[in-house]
Amino acid sequence: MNRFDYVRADTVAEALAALATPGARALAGGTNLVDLMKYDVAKPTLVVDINRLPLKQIQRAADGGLTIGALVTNSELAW
Amino acid sequence: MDHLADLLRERLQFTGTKKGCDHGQCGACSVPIDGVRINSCLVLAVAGDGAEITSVEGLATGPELHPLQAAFIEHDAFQCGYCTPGQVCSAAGLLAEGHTHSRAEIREHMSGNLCRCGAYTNIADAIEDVMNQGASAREAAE
Repeated sequence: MNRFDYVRADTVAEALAALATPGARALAGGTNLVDLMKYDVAKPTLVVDINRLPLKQIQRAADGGLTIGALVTNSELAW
Repeated sequence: MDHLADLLRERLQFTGTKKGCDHGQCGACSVPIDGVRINSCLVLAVAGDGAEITSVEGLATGPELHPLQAAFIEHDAFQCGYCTPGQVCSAAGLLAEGHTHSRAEIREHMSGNLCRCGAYTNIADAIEDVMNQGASAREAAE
């Protein structure tokens, strides 16, 4: 795996600012990014961990739809 | 940079956690992080900073096996045993989640843990046994 810097974002604004860096990639569950990094397919210079952002809610919308947060996992959604 | 699976095995010497596929597909490296089971081969160790992680070594209470460990032995729920720590950790997570109430659901909710020996029938037996032991066992699994 290549060398990279790691930063954990606490706010969405912080994440967006970090992700504006050339070579930056967002890290959530890691099922794609970490796997690809192991074989140097993905080579981010900066990994921005977004797992602690408050984006884990599933909310019912007034029109009957659902708003699914970007960090909701497949298993959480399946329940 | 280490993955959590490497950190546990190579640096902390908790070699109960197994590395199978190293791609998050086989479940051998399953451990709960803050109570949620994950594939530790896909987690950067640094991302687990401050989290509570219980590997298979932490399930037993002294010489007293965790009910799932006892049930796996009772039901002969393995052949080679390589996937077993991941199966047991995943099953503990399954019980803690509390969504599983039938054998079919056990099979579905354990589908991330592969067993190349094909001990699925006995693995499901073991988990079903502990699940049926009721709420007290469920609390112990947490």
